[in-house]
Amino acid sequence: MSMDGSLENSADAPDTVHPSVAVQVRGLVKSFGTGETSVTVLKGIDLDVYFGELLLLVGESGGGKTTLLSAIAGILDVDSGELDVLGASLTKMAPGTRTSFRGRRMGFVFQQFNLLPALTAAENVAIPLLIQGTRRQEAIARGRVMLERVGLGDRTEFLPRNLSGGQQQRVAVARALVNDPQLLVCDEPTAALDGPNGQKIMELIRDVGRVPGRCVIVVTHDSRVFHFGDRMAELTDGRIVGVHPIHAEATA
Amino acid sequence: MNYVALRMLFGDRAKYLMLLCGLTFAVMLIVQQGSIFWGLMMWSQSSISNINVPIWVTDPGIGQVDEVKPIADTAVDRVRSVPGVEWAVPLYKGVLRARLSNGDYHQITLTGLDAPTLIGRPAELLEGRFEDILEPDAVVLDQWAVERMGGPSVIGIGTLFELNDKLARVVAIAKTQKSFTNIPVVYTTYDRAIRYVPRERRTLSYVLAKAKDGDSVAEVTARIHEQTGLGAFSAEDFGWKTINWVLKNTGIGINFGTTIALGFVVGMAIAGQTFYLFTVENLKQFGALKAMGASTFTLARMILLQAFTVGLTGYGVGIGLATAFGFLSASGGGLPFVETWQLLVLVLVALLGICTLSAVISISKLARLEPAIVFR
Repeated sequence: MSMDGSLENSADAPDTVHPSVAVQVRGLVKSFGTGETSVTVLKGIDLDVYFGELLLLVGESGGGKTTLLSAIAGILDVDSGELDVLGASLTKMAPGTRTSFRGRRMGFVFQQFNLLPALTAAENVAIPLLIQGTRRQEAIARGRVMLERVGLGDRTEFLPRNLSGGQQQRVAVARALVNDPQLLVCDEPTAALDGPNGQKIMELIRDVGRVPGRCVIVVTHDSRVFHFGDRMAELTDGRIVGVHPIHAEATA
Repeated sequence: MNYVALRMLFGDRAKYLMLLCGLTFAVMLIVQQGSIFWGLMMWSQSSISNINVPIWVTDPGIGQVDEVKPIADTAVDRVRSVPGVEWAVPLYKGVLRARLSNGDYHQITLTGLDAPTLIGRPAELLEGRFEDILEPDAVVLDQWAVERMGGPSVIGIGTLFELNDKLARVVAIAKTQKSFTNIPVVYTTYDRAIRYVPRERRTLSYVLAKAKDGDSVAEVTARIHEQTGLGAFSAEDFGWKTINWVLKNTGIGINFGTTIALGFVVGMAIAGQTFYLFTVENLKQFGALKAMGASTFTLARMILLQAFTVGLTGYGVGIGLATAFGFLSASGGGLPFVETWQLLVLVLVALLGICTLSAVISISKLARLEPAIVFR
């Protein structure tokens, strides 16, 4: 297995996952629908993602980026293949255990933010902690601290509707990081934002997300933010057609 | 997560108010109609509650209290001779026409009480003294008689009118529960009552009795029936017999039952559907929570909390409005409205049932929800 992430055959996959590998995908297949209307979206994906890196999943629309991200995040069942995430086999995990695993070890940033409109920014950030059973006051206090880290210390009591799109996505990033996850998955985090705000959000994700012991996977089709990634995996028609380091391209 | 659930519920004020209105309307409709229905049933047995004695004895084939089947005058002594009977007195009850001095005729219910004891007299008087009924030609009216016969300007204490061409003089006005038919009630003594009415072979309507201390009413009524062949009923049993007769022989049961059932079904359907839609509209939010690690059990608890919160709030407001309606419209006994705790418990159970049902439907949808919905 090479650090440049070149395509690997599932038959060559090691039995044990290397400690530096946060996510190991082997022969992943996922179809939607049945019979004649069945569409295979992932056609045998192999991929490694390492701790400390920010991987971009790019490719044409309908290529399977979001489906792959959903599978890695454990929120979508797959048809076949192996999926080892943070040292655990998601494909062998019971649904309840997988839900709990997600809550403790992963953070999510969604394209449409998915903030609860009735909750303040600090309360929204506190949600992952509340789900884990943290007391409300403590969870909200930690939410406020997290909001300060993403530059929204003066907006903690604002409702989402009173925040700009960029600010809402910052709240979403704070929410994704509040329980200190090892895997941060982001689906088109800049799609609903204008250029400058998109850049700021990616800067934030890179700065607070890409730290030792954590890895970040970002699905994006926004070429303006490619330079924030360490590597880029390109999906076309349900297959990874290439995995490239980015710095060389970005500086080229 | 209870806090998050409640904030989600209250946060969308328009949806919350719509939900609350649906439930409030349903509860109010059911309680209001149910209370009016029960009030009417109480009115149907008002003769029993106004006379307020423990045992009623009459023809065994009687259907209800106002359907008088005269019995022989000797029945009083036969009942008195039954062991366990402390006292027994005669009661006359019959329908007559009263002619006022202005020429108006009114149908009245004539009630003749045992003169020495005046057992069966109304408990409360609005004007006059009930004992004056012992004076010549004296009668006592209930307050509804005054209302029906033209009001205080037409009839009151001292007014003379005719009953079957015989003179009657009002000496007191009694406060009573309104009757189902709202026919004015005129009280007099038993002996005078049978002088007012046209001659009949049998004039005794009821024997009113009481069991001795230490003897149960049930035992004594059974003994009276056994030894005299007459029908003997406790006041409670006679009340239920009357209610059952009204339900069986009039359209009230079906009409009110239909209204209440429709109100219930429509109200609850609105409430259930609104709550279900509330959950469906929040599906993406629930999907996000599921993606972030909230278990189906946690989400189910949140939905149940939301359902019961809005349900209990709607119940409280609905009961409050129905009670206010009853208080305003039925104060003074003008309209039938009896709100019983049994009705309130029944409505509460039904409401929580429909809330649970709609919550369970929503939860089953959530349980099948793939959290990947948040990435679409």
